[in-house]
Amino acid sequence: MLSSLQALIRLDIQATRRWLEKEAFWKSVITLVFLLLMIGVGSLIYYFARFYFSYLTTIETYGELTIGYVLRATILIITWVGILSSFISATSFLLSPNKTTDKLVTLPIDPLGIISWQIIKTLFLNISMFLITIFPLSLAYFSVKGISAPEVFFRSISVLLILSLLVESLGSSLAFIITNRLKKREGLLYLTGAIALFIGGTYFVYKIIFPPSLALLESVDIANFGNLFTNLPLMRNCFIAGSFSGILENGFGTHFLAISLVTGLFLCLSILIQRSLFISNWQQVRLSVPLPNLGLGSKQFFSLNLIKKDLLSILRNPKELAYAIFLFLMLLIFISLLTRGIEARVPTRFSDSAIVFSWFWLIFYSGTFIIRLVFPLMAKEGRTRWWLFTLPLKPSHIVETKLFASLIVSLPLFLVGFVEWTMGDVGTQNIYLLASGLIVIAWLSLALSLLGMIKPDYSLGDDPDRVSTGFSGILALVIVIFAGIALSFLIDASLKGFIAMADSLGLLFVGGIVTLIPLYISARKSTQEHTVEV
Amino acid sequence: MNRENLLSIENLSKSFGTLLALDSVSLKVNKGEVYALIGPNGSGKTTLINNIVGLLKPDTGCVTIAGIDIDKKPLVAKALIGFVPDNPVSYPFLTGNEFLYLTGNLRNIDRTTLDREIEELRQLFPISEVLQTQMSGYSRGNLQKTAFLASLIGSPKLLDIDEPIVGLDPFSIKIFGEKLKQFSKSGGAVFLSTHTLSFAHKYADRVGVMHQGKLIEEVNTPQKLDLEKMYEKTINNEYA
Repeated sequence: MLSSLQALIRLDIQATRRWLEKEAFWKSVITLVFLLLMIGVGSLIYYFARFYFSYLTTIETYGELTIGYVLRATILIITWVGILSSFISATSFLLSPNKTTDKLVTLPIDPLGIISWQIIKTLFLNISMFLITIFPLSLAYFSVKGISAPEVFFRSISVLLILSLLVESLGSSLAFIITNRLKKREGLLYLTGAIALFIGGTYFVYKIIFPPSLALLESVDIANFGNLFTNLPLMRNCFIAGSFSGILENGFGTHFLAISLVTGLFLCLSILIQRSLFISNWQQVRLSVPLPNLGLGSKQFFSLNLIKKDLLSILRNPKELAYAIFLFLMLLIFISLLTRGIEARVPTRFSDSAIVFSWFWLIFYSGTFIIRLVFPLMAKEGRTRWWLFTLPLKPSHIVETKLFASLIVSLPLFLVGFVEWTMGDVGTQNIYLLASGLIVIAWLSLALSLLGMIKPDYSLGDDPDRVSTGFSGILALVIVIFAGIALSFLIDASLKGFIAMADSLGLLFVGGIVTLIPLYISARKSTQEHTVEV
Repeated sequence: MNRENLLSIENLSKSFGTLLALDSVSLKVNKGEVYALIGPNGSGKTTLINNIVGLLKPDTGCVTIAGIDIDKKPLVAKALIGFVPDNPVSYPFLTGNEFLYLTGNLRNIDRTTLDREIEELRQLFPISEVLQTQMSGYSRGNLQKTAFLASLIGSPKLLDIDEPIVGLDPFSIKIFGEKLKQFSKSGGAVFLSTHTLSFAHKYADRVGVMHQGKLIEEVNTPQKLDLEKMYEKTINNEYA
């Protein structure tokens, strides 16, 4: 098992080396900028949390307790998102036949080697995600508490590793059980069950963090406050959040032992499940089932069919669909919890900054959703250009249908934006935030779609994941982050009254159009060139 | 221009960097004719096929389809061509039927005509059940057949086909060849490239031999001669 695992790891290292060989300089620059941005995001979380925690420590008992509550809530949210992330990662791996795994399955290799290879990759991703979320948060916590550096390091690293293993074990096991039945008769039932489980789980997390009794804390006297607080579900009944925050707060005691044992148990179970289902899952993926004709020739307005085709490229590709659902749920979880958190616990003097922070996250997540699903739409034509570009269609027509498809794919983002700013009181400020959010999401959708058409990497057309995480995808992400930061300043200035809200909206609208025009012209020119030089 | 020419290529040259892939190629394919292009790997056959359908822009020379210059009026010319590439990979998430309907729809064919055309085409190969499944599971041969059926949608005048019989079983090769003959006899023209000399020998009305970007030989009615010997001799002469 170990030798096959080593061979697989070497294969990935080799692939990364090959990737870096082409346009090495620019890839290094962009990767560096990306890493710096991630460090920037981590630092932002650190400073924001430290500032907030420092403020809370000035409010004696209430403040100390609130810090503990925020820490547990964050751990619970990240655990849930981590499970979701591992589930999607395993599902997309299982549902997307690839040549490497096809070859491996035919070799006399224990599936354990292939599974371990996949687990290591997902662990790496989870640890990276936790490094920019939990790590800065725990550093802020310790810095406020004044606990020494080596202790901070070991406690945080332990939490990071155990949490990564736990979410990977739970998420992957679920993925293996569900995908094994997807193409069988009961497949739809299992798919519906999985979606219901995640929506229900998200609601459950929400209810644990924001129970009805939380509101009572505002009015209760100091004598009863402690009693009511320690009886909140998150403080009393949540084993996972309690154990991890226990390690961070008190070091390696019973909490560490308990959660390590539970994680070990889940890991063993998960490996057993994955090992027994791996081969049958791989065989399931290859089953071809008859599908009803979706009427792709039924309309005379032919653009609609090209748009339908692009939508089917997501809806009928399990990997793409899994990503779409995952990113959408992530966005929904973060935004709803953030908005509710701001309403419930952020002091009035920080509310503008917190709203801008929430607005930025909506834009950032929308950007990642669009980069993953919309940006590669033209590159995905890769090996089918022979068909699309030999049809009697104007290149501008192809570009325009892709733009329409982009807006349709981005519809869930408009929905989240709408829900976010129409929850609670709908005042002038919320209408402004809603309008600005929708304008920017529409702009991102169109601009990133056009960017993806200017220099599409057709050679990666079969793997949109690599298009969005490749050189141009990372460049697009950098643009999204810079645009998000710049626009956040504009929103902040409007909320503080330095710029009238109507002027700010006008600026966003006109700026959007002005930037889209050259992008459209370049995309059209590029498609024209690609049409005749395949 | 001769009104019978459905494909006319004049002094076509194309380079990729320092490699001269096509060197002043000129040829004509008439209405009712099947023209087969043969030649060693890298001789320029695929480059020529891609120039005809407008996927490549020539450095010099021109391609006209039924008198229409594809560079000047690409949309009109493309509407007259049915194309099958050497590797007809298609959208894996669509079923074969959806792909056929989508092709017809984008060629602006009305629904009644399209239904009738597709129903007729489905009779050509026994793959009706396969066409109901997603193309991600298709074999090389079934992808080839689906792409061929798609190329016949919309009554094209010229079929431009690169390596038509790769991956096909002997029975399907026969159907394929006979359909090409029938297509040309009903007023169309076929331009294809192949490495299978027996296929060219049996179904082509004219054969062209390409070598290092040049059209070095053309023979009419190849059935009357030993094509294999002619090919061998021509290529050997070139190397000599």
